[in-house]
Amino acid sequence: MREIIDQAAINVNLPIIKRAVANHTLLNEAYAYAKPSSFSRGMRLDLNGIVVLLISGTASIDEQGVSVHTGDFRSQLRRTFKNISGLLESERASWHDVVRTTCYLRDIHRDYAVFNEERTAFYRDLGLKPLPASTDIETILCRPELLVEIEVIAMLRAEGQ
Amino acid sequence: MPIKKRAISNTAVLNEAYTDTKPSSYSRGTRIDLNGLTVLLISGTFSSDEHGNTVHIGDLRGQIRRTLDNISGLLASEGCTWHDVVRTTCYLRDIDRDYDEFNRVRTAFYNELHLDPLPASTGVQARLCRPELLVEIEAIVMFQTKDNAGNGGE
Repeated sequence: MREIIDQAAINVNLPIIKRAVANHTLLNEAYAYAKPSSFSRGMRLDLNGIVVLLISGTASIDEQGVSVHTGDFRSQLRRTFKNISGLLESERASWHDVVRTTCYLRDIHRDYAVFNEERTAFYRDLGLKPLPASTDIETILCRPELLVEIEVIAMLRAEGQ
Repeated sequence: MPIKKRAISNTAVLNEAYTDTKPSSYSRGTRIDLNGLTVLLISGTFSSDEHGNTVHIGDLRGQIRRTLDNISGLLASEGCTWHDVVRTTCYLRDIDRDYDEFNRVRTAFYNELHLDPLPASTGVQARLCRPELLVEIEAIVMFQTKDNAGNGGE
């Protein structure tokens, strides 16, 4: 009986430490959209000294929640990178902490060459090494004018660890 | 503070994406070492060879097999196997047409390996980065590591 009680005590599940990630100077909250959408721009998880940032699918949207650079793939991609950089910075992380991306393109056969050109230039400017793992696929995105969206997993050690 | 991480590759089975004729800036996977725990994030992997060429064009079964073999090669390069895979995401170009055959090939492959438990998985349709590709698979892998001093792991 004693053993059963101890086992039960061990098996109590407790929540991990987590909170939403935001950077309002660059992009608004999705739940503040004209058509509200219930997701955070990202989640920060604190796991015994390891920080995991799960950055939501991020696109070319400004601090008012408006799509910018409609019809311009290259500029949309640059704004997407900038928005992600801002979200990472808000947690004192950078692209050097990114371990994986998933890149969604609306028309991969038309835009993949430009996508690769821009991403390579962006990563090169940062001196990124190793390059993050990635999956790049075509999907229909949440707004018809969006041509690209990127989600990211970043991992780092908490300061002082 | 950065975590301990590095790129994964196995150039005997597939080349680096940044050496393709049309270079693409990603690693075949990332290895992350977290206090005795290792996580591998394997990138979307497909039926391409050590020169970066698509192989088995028009042959779904051949493409699935090569994709699985490429992932096996990446796992082997880090001293692990499919038994350490906890999750896959499988992208099919035409899921209505190809899902039955995909399941047959994957089941046969997992059966050969006596994989138990089976990894969690999501299977969805997507257009892939090359028009001739019919399937692409990404994976998350976790295992414990021991350092030479015997620390970490079990």
